[in-house]
Amino acid sequence: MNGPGMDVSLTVALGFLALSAAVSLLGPRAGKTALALAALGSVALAVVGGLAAFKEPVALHFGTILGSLSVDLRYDALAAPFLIALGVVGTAASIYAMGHHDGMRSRLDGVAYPAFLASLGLLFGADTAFAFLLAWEAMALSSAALVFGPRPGPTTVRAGYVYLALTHLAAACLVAAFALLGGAAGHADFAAMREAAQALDPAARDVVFLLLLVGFATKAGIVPLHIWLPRAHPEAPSHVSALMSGVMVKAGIFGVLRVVIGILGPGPAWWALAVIVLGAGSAVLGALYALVERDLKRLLAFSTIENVGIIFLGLGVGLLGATVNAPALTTLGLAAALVHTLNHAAFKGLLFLAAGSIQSATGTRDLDKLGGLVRAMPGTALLFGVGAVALAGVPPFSGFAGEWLIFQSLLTAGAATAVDPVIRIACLLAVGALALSVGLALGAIVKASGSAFLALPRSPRAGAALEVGRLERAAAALLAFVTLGAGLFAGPIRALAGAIVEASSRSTGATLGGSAPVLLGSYEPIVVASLLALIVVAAWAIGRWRAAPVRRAPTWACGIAPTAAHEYTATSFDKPARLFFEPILRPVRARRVEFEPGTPFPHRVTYRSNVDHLVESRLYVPLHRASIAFAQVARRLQQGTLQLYVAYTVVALVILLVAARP
Amino acid sequence: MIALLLLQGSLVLAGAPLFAGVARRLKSRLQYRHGPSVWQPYRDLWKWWSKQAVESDASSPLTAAAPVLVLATMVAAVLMVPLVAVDSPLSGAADLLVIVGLLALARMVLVLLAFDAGSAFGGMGGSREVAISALVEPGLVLALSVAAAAAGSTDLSVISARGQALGPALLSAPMLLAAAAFAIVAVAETGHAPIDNPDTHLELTMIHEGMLLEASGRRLAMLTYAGHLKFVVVVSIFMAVFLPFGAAAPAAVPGLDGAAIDPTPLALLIGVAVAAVKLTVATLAFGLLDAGLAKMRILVLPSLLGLATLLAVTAVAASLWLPS
Repeated sequence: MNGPGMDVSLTVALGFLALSAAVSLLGPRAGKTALALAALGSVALAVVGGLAAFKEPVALHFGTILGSLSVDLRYDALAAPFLIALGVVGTAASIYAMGHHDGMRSRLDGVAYPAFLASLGLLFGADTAFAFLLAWEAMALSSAALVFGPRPGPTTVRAGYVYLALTHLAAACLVAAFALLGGAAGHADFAAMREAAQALDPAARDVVFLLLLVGFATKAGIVPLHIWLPRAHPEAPSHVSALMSGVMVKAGIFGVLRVVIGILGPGPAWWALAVIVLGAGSAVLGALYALVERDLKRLLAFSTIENVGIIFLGLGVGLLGATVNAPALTTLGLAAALVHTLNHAAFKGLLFLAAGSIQSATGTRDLDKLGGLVRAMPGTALLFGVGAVALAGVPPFSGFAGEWLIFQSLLTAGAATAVDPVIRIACLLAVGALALSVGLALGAIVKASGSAFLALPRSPRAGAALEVGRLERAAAALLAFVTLGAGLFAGPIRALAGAIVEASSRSTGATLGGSAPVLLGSYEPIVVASLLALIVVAAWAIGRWRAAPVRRAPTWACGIAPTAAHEYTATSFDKPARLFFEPILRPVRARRVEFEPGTPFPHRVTYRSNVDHLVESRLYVPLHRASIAFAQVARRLQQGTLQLYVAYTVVALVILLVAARP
Repeated sequence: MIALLLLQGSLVLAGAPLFAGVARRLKSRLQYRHGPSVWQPYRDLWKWWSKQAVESDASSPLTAAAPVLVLATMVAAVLMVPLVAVDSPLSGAADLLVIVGLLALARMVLVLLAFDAGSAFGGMGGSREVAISALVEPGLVLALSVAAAAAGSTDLSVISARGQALGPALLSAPMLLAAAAFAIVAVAETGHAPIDNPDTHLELTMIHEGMLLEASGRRLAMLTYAGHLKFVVVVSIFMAVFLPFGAAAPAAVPGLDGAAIDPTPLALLIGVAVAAVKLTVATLAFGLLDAGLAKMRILVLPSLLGLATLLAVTAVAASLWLPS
């Protein structure tokens, strides 16, 4: 019973997804059926993941194009956590979509959504460069179609184009890297590439590494290649945002694990350093921008950048362990990255679904216009709360479990005498960066939950909100259970992640891992959670014992009746942070007071405040200007006469013939 | 272990408010006031405990739940730090990162509570708390990381045992730098001058107290008591990492090689006395700060907390010079 289970369930999964696409073509009334089929397909994908975790890998051959371009799949242990994340978040997202008005906006959605799920499922099993790129491109295009939607507004169009541009930058880098590897191997399958990669000369390996890093970091949303992420994720419907933030950015993580570590193998120490520095920068900047963001879904998107940065820290430690040939360090770093990948998928998926519920109940994602939703939407509030404590990185919840492991791996690397002192310092400083980002993220999610759910509603629509339907809550509840479970059972999960890293390094024959991770400290979430629960019950009982009944009265507002205008808004809440981090955020505020003509009494005050996104204003804006300027020059080549174009072609041909002469 | 759990738990739970009383008394004396008795915190707690709680009609069930959660988190943290002995009562279940995480959990609940009544003062206190604690976090964790990397463990018990074994050699230059960094962030964590004023009566300057402004009755008692416990937790972490001397070490069993049993009663007794002295010294230090320093403007706080981070970063770099 080793092999058959996996290919059968994969076939079932792809079958359901294909059926879902076919059914959705019947028209809008078949939308729910199509989404239910997508949910079933996702469940089957999770089953494939479960089987891949515990069974020997199975190779599947799909077909060959042009001789060497074959589509081969092989689901090994490394694919398992990604498939499970895809399956679980995909199931919840599909169920959510069944209950949501944006669940299936058009036939395009009906085809793109299952295609998106299927392409991710195939990507995690790709065993040749061709299959990998095919699935990669299908994933990019199908998700772009979901971002655009049937009737995109101007913001959506801009977001979609930025997304398409960067995702193709990533794809171009990957094609170039695979071309270099495949050219050396003479074949595009991963096993051949792995052998060829070891024989490449160091400079070529560096080039391949950089190309792969840019490609995968772009997809993962690493700063400074992240600018598509906070644009595209909020524009997609919330269940798609959940999948994009929860699973699709992890394709970048998967790529680093599968291709950089699994195929290219260990490299010089600066590779690890580069990954750690990128990770630390993304973690801090992502959390900082999340803290000062007032659009709920953009806030969550920035938090995704933070978490991907945190995962990169684990990957960096893994690479470092491979460089200095410390298998235990490699296993610890990579296992930490895997655990946080899984945990983040569940809690970020949950938060995006709950944010979607807020948006559909109130019509806005602006935190300054929300408030008091806990009374109208107690279920959603509770579910969002579960995601919030996980994101905040506090024990005994799942975000903390992953971050704790990353801390452990960085500290282990920092204490390892085999590691170069400069890199040890970098690892310990990354501990500080991680601590800062965790602190900022806590502030961000407290701000989001506090200003959305607590106190008085800040707009009439927030006051008139109604709880969303059962399906939406059930879908979020599924992820909430997974999140809580992942927090409580962090011990077995990290052992499993360690086993997966070992198994995958054995099965790929890669020269890393292979030793159980050694932890520096102890964390038993079940003990911590039961202790907390015990004391909570005791304190609750003592607090209730012979207590006078609680009296309810209006909040004291210095003698006037309290209104929502007295509350702190989300924007006022992050003001201290804006001021503290002024050199990075460069907040701009514009206040305009209009006076009643002829009197000193103001009758209208407008206030606008904004933060500058340094990467965009300092990197992308100049880049954009430069490319426009270049285009102005380059257009002189365009004269519109056929003869000239033929001449260009001839010149190019001659140059090629001379340059590529044998 | 059970004996230690009961001993440390009951002593800290009973004694924690006393240190607040001592600090306040010292402050009043230094200001040429008579000041309240050192037992005043107990009287305050009892007074609030006997009063009816009033809650805002804008508030949610969180207002009732938050005090219990904050208190439970702090009690759990009290049981996870080594204070009386080298081992913490719950060693093996939680390392220093978990304890730092529990402090963050309490802070998260508290800031949410500050939102709940819809008053501007709560939001003001909460927003400052969040921004300041984000700046505190790197200095705090880096300072502890220096010790953890040197000891090869993030378990406070292991760090503490190694410190005791090293004796005065523990206080090398990097550890002193880290201790200085930790001392600065400890002031921020426990809400003392020059970062916060524990006795403030002006809402506009409040940080910690601002978040408690809407709490009353037993809820206020629980939150204030949790604040007293937090002081003990933060000081205990400092002592366990940087000054573990005098804490009761596990007694080695003769014959059984390397096996250890619980500390002897005498060692525990000494441990209790030493812990009381350490906490009193820390209390007096904080009392001196409160009396001697004015509260800093909130906008200059980043320089102070940045100094802590820089000290910790220097400690990290200097720790490479330590023999391993």
